[in-house]
Amino acid sequence: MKRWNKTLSAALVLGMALSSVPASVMAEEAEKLDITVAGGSEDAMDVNTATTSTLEGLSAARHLFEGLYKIGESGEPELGQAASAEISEDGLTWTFTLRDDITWSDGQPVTAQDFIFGFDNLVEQADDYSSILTGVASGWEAPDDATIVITLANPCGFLPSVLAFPSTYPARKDYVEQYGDAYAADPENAVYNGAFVMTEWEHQSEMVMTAREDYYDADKLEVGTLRWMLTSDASSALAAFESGDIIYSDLCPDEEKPRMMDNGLTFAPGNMNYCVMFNQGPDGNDVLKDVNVRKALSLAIDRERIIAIRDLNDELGFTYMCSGFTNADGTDFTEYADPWYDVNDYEGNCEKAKELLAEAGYANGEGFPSLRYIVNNNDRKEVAESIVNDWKEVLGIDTVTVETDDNFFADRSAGTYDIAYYGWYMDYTDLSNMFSSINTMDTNNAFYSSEAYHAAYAAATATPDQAEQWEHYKECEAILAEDAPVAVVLHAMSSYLFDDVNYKDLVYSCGNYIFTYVKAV
Amino acid sequence: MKVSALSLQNKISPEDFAPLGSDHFRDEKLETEEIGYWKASWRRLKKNRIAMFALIVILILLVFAFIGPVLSPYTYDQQVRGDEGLWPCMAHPFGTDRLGRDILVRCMIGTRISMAVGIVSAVIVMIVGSIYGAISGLAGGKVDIFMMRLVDIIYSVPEILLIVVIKMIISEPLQNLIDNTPSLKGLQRIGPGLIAIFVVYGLLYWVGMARIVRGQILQLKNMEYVTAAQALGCSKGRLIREHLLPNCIGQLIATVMLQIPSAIFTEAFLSYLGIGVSAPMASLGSLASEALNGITSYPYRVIFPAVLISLIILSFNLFGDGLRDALDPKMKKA
Amino acid sequence: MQTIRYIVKRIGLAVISLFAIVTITFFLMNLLPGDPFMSEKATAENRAILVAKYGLDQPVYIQYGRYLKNLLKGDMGTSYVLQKGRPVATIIFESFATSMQLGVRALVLAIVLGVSLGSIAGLRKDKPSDGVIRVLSSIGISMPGYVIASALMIVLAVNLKVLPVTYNKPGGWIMPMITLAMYPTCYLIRLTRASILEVMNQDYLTTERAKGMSEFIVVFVHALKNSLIPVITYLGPLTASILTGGFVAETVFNVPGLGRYFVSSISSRDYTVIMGVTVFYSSLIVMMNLLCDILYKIVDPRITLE
Repeated sequence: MKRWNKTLSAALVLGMALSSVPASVMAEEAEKLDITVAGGSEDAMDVNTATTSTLEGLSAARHLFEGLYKIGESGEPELGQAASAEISEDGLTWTFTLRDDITWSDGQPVTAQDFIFGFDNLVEQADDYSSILTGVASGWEAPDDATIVITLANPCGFLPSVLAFPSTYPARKDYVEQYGDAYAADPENAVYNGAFVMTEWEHQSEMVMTAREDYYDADKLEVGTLRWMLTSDASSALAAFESGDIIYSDLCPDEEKPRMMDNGLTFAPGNMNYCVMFNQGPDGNDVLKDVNVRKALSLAIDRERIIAIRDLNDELGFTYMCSGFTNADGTDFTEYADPWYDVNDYEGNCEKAKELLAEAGYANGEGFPSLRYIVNNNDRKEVAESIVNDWKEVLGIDTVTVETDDNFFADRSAGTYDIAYYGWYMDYTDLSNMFSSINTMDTNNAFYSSEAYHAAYAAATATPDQAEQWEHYKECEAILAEDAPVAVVLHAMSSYLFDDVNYKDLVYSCGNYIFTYVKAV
Repeated sequence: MKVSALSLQNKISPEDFAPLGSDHFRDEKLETEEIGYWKASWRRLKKNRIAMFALIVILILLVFAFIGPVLSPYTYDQQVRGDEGLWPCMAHPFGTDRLGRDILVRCMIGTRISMAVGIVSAVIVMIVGSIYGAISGLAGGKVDIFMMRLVDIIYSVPEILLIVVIKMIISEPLQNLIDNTPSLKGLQRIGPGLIAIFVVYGLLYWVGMARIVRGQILQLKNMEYVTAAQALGCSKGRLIREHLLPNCIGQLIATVMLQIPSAIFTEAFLSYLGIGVSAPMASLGSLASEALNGITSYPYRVIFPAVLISLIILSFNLFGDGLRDALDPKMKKA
Repeated sequence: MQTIRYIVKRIGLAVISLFAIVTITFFLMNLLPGDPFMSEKATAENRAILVAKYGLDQPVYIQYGRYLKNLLKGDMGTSYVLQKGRPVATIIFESFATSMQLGVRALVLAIVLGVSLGSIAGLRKDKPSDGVIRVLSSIGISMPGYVIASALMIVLAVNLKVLPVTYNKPGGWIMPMITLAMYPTCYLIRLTRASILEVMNQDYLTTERAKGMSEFIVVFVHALKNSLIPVITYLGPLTASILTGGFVAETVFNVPGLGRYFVSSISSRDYTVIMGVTVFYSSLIVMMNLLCDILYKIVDPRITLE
């Protein structure tokens, strides 16, 4: 019978094609979309929500699992598995009621306990995002199968962003306990509550996701099969995109981006900063412990030239925070805070840099020790070489060599470097996320610590009042400008390749990409 | 004495035992002058047109690499403002990269580095490999078995792991050494990555050479003249120095010649992995592999260094082949 | 009988070698700075928890003992980073299967093309066909793999769109196969040619010709067979390296093979995978060498084992 149906429908389709039915009718009859995207490398493709920490893994997890909130078609957090959220008057208790039509891919309903287990498991696994929820919430409980209560230490306006973040998604206890580390490492090692279910994972090559028919919004979605090409090679990803094998890639060599601008390269707010980090830790060269040296190195960087060379719509970096965050008056934070240096006077900055370096005892760069500058890819190496050239031409320092490091993050966090690339991509769009990055020693690999900064940051996060927050963050900026643990070079845009001729409605938010709502044009 | 006419005995007479005259052998003397091993080899080599052509290319490349940069108006790390990302033109025959550096002069320096990698590594390999192989071959017995087993083991450990580990281990002490020794300041430009490659070569790639030398020694060891030397009380060291090494030097040199391209290849591959010279210094391998990122927009940045790598490897291969034939007349001309 | 004794002895020696390799690799690997749990956002506190969870905080010799014990039981552990939680044996099996599929094709291509073109060049020495083959093989042997791979990709996949970029699409194996086979093919051409020239001048062939044997038999039965000896010696290491995959071909064309996997396991400090692949790879080389020696003897009975 089944086979007969297939033959029949094939005959029908053929017949329709032959009788040249208008294209619109065809589209309605057509199967759901089958799209391939380049979505990260094998090691980045961890879809266990409790342990994944790369943009690629988080993005993939957003398709397979869903939290109380999800990133909606607009790119903003909206209610996902929860039908409603009630906030107590003091803003400290959030009560969520789950939808009644949500199930796991094995048919079992999603319960409040699954969420509670997800939260607990996140803390238990002790991976990169283990404290994303405990950072704002003081406790959670499930009074019944459909209700979840989260209590906060301080009111938190961005809780929906946190709950839309994959780390806080639910997990099925029986699967996590049965498979342990291998949970979600193969299709059958997990059940899924998102819009897709993982049907195939050919490791290092491709992960295939299929749309779930019992997902509550299934009717509204057009993507039927979503294939993730797993690669870390930007040139291959670009070639695959250009040859039409894939419709999306967040990998593209920087040097080819200007060429691709009219061919599918799309820019999105970067929400990041691109810095040079100076190691002040025990293994870094002592010369960098001198604030005058750090400031001199920072002032001598010709940022305008780097931006011109990159040709990627970057913004000049003169504050730690990037632009795009405005207060009630519509002022951008980068305007609100004081710039670290005079942005219009590069020559003057160079003179100042020379003076500072002379003060530190290295007039004209004489006697400056050799420093090792590490980066993690060729695109960043190019920028580093431009910076090193500025130091040579302006300050007379010719003893800095640049290396691409195969285990960059490990070396940087262990502090076995002198100078390194540093960039913070915000996890959610709140100022606190950017400023937290340099507040804790764990993400601040410069081994920089300032009591004044800790105090200002603590004060900013403790108050719900935006004006007051901003005042404290402004203070944070001033302290960083004074101490120069990093030199902010620029604020880059995010960019990705997307076949916008044939497809639309890709959601791109804070580096996460969501294909759930993609439709054919 | 009466001699029978049918006798088959030699007819000897007392005159046959008289001393010969001093000019007796004059007619049998060879008319050609006597030439030594090296001269003969050189003659054979000169007849090989391909090898001679390769030699000329190598010489041109050496001039390109070592004299070229002096003649260029630019230096390899000079970023010329306003000349960023130029295609090949009059001012920059090979074009410039995105930072405004002249690719021609960078290719010259790259050729210098790549050739240095090839030659220095080959020399290290020759020294370490031939000493090890000679000792192993001469000592024989248990020592030989043990030493060759060690070679097998080194041969089977994945080389990438060794390179990464050795680089990690030696970079820091090396950096300190360079910083604290003014005479080594020049090495700073090259960076510990490249020096690590040399060390790796010294530690790893001599195994092939050691095997060859051992084989040769084993063959030569049983030759009569060696036995004679031993019988006359020749010491082991002297035996190696004066009898064995000269006899296998031909094959040694030819093998070393063929080692050069393989070292350059390895360097290029390591550059692809991101292990190698530290910027702003460049090798041909690092130039080509870094330019792969923009291969469609700026193909010339890949093409020039890639062609140069091919040219170097090709000419060393062809010259090495010719040299092997010339130095080892026992081998048939291939 | 002597052959069997020889083989047994060689296997014994191979096991000792393997043990030494495992030991060396284990301690070398632990010399690498960092641990599998270092990432951009890892906190020191969390890292300490994870390091303790997997017993990596114990002294290296204890970890080594534990690893050996498990290895003898056939347990290579599970991956820490790259395919977290999956057994190393499964990972190696899967990626080796892929590398082998591709490698066998490349190997066949290299041997067929290399030996046949090399023989043609050798038998038609100094004729135009010899010249063309020599020039092409000399060029092929002197190009770095990543240049070949990138050029193939830009021309065939991006511009002409005749082949897909990635391995898992139909026809996706063709470009990585060419990349992988390029060097060995050209090398084999040169090797076969040189070997043929050497054999063709040997006295026994003259004798055979004098005895009135047809040139066909002289060349194809006697000369070719003997000229294959050096080719076979080269095949051992070649097979091992080609079957375990070429890093460049696998990276550029996204082949889920062992070569690419091993390199990423080193940079991500995925200890169990590094060890597993090393054990596997070394065993393969040791086995290949052994096989080669035996094959060598079959082809050339003059060679005595030992």
